[in-house]
Amino acid sequence: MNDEQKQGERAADNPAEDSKAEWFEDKDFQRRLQQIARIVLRKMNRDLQETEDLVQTALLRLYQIDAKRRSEIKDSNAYLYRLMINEVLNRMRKQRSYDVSLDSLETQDLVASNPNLAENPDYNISLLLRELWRQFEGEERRLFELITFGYNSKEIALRLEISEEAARQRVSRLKAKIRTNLAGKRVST
Amino acid sequence: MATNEVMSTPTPIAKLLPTQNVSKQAYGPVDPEDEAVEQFLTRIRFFPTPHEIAQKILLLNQELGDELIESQLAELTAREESSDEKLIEVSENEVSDNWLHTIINRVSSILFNEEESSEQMNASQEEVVVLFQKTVSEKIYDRLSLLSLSPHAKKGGTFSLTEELTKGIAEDIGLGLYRRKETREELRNRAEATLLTLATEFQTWLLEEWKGVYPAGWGEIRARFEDTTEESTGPVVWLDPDVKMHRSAAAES
Repeated sequence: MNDEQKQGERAADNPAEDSKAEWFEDKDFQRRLQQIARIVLRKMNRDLQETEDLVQTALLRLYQIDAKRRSEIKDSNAYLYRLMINEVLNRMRKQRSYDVSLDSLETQDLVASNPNLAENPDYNISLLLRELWRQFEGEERRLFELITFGYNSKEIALRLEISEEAARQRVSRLKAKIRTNLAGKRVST
Repeated sequence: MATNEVMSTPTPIAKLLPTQNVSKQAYGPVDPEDEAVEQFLTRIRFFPTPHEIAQKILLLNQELGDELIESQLAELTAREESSDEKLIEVSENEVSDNWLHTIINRVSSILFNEEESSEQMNASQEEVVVLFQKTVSEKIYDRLSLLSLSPHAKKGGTFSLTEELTKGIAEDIGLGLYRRKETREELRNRAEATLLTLATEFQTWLLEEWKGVYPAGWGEIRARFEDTTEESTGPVVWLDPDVKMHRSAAAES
């Protein structure tokens, strides 16, 4: 039996999967989700660029809801609205505990203290850089500093008194973390 | 002074730099998937010291060092003439190893295969300048980091950007000698002008590239304007972007 036949059998066995797929592929549904995300983010004074991330997370959560539960949802707009609010609140909680534990400047304070900052085209770059400094500690932070001075792997190896190969590996690992941070963020470089 | 002599002799600056060859390629070949990361790293780079300034600082460092050696030699000669001391005995006791090393290097470059060594020096000289650009940037970063720990910074005080990026940083980047009273006026003026250009470039970078706020690993570098009212809770160095004022004063004098 080939893969297509197997998929066909699975769909036939589980009609809920079919309706779920339809639901997620529905352009109107996706547009509605985006609109609600924007409304929620604006109301909660959050960065609009989080929308895509939130919509993705919301879609994943919705995907986990089974067909029976979905049929019980009477007002889908209200449900999506609530889902988005919960997601934003979760993020804010995570952000707050993260900031406090690192005893650093809080993004919200920063924006509050400088209203023009949010309009700054480099706002995202600054925020992301702050996030990275918060994440990197000890040797990683030192390595990131050396990279921000423009040192290459060979020069970093000399500075840290390690082999060039070790330096290259550390730089590579650090870049992988940066790549993870950059993923899903619209950063104008 | 011949330009390629500059990097061939050990100087206080040369001591700061590794002697190995430096690859010009940063972080190896760029995978298309990593392009965004590379662009991001380029964008967030801490103040990149301009090549021309790094080159001038290295030359000034050499000239200041030469002048010190010459004055030491003149002093030694004068002492030799006025006493029974032999010059060689005084040299061993009072002249640094650096000076002897300098002379040996110069003599050996004249005696052995001058043309070939000259080409090699040209190549390594460029590498040293490129590396020195990064070293100067690092020194500025470290200085500002230290300032952020000072009681003045902790009270929210402001530092003059010009003072910190000229007199303040001079010693760290090998130009401390320019403030000796014995330094020729012309040399001192050139050193001051180069440092002021460095301060100007730094101010332009901070204000234009980062809108006056650069998030560093140790805290923040912030420009404080007359109408700045915000305060910060973390480690911050507030800098008064006063280079323009200092440039005008220098031009008037």
